[in-house]
Amino acid sequence: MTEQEYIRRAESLKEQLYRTAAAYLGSPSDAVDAVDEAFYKGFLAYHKLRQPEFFDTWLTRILINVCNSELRRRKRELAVAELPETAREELDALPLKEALRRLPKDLRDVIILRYFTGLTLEETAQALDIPRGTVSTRQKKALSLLRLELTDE
Amino acid sequence: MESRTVEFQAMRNELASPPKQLEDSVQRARRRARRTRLLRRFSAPLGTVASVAACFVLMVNLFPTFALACSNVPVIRELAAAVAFSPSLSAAVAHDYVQYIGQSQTVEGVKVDLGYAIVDQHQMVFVYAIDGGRFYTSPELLDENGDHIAAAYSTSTVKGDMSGQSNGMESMILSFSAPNDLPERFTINMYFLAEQQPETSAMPAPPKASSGESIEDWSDPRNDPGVLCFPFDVTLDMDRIAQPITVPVNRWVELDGQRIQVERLEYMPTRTILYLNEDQANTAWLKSLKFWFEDQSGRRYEEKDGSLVSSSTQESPSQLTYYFQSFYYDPPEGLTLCIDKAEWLDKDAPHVVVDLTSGESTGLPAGVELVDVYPVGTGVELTILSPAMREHFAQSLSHTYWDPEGGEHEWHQMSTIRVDAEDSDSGEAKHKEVFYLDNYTWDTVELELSYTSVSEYAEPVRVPLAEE
Repeated sequence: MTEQEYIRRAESLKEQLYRTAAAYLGSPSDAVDAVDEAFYKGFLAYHKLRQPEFFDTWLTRILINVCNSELRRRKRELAVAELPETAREELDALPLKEALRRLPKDLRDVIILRYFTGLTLEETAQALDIPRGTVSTRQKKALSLLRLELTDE
Repeated sequence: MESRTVEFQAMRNELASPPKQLEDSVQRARRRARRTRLLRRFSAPLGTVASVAACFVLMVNLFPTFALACSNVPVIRELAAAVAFSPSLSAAVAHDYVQYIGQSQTVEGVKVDLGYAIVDQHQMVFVYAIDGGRFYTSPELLDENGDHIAAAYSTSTVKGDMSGQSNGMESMILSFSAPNDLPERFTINMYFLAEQQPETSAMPAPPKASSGESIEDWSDPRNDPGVLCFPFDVTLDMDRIAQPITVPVNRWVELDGQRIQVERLEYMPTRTILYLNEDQANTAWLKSLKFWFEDQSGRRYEEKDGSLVSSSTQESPSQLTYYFQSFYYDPPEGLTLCIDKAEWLDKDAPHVVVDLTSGESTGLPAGVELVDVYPVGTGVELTILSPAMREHFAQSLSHTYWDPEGGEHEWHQMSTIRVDAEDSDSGEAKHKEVFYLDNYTWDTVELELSYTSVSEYAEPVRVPLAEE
């Protein structure tokens, strides 16, 4: 992949990546920072990408790692805890945005990629490197915890 | 359940309108990545001294007299190997011209042992070992009040060991353009990057973007994420700093119709300095001189030594002071200066004017072409191709440029790469330079050239260095 090709594909993906980062981090400026960081890491590594057909999920995975890293940093600073899967009532009491961030990480990843990034089940499985069936199970569990009824678009 | 669906739709709508800062995200990352690559590229040629290091380690190990000469300084083998890239520094170490520092600091798991300093009136060389990190950017020097020491200095680092690994000793060379700049007591803030920076996780938080972000917001690499600062308080023993040996010359020579005076040589423990003067009636500034020395037995000396190749003064843009390997400990007899090449800048050279809309330009020297004008975010990138006959990292343009209203600006970012003949459209090796006009909204720009002509002499111009 050439630099021009990387730029072209990154440009076409940036709004989708922004939505992903914003769903993870909440703040628009933090989301832009995270997208910047993901693009930067991508620039340093795109020549190592062996299967350009997986570019979108590859860059999305970099972004997820950047976001999770930022969330870990915040957790250290603010002592924000994820709520366990059994804590349905506590999640009910929170606004959706906050409830999403308090979901267990595995479930949150799936919901964000499926409903905010707009990936298919297959693409979500690729981006998270888990089986398709696991995506489906986690999606169901997360939607139930959030009391959300969403169809596969 | 219904209210959750409404919330979900509201959240989706909110995310559908990204902030304006996202527009330049890819280009911001591209510039940052280029700078990172440029730093890596600059360090590469300095690492090619491994074979020299090997010879020196052999000398230390095989020749008892040499090892004995080195034995007054602790851990001398490591020190000798660390400076093996430089004949001058090796000679200084062999003559015990070393100041012991012996300080150690650990920051976030990265350990730096600042071992020694080799200091003369124009140069400080710090020899240190680093474990778990690598050199990132130039150090800062602070005086006892914490104020920046306003010396003009340049920095380079060299790994002296064979392996090229960061756990060997390295040298950080600070070259001063004036002897009075050399401080006795100071704090040196050294900047390193942790070696273990996972590619996709546990990175430090990225710097905050702000509306209207410009290069200046992040152009100081000391603010980059993950950079660690190691402040060391250093006191030099000024009594151990040698006085130079001066060789007066005072000979005039004519090059390309311009008159240049070879005034004197100064032999210092870490370098030799050649001082030139120029005739005020010259029509061009001397921007670069390529030369070597020959002694009376025909032995040729062509080793540049140190990070600073030449310097100019405030009075003249000409490069009239040149730095060379040290002859301090073994001065050659009957030296001749042999000049191969000179670069000139006509004193009345007009500025280059670039029309940023059409990409047309006027005033570029022969062989230099503007090949691309590319809008990037709030600025413009200019790409220039020049002949590869010039020094590898020589810039075609000076540091200043002007907008059509007369406003003065400075480059904050440029990069240079060599385009090999096989990759060049013209079939000739070129230097490709990319300049970035930051936050630039005008349609034209005036650029100042750093040279207008280059002369390569078929036979070297010879200047005997005995006083006339």
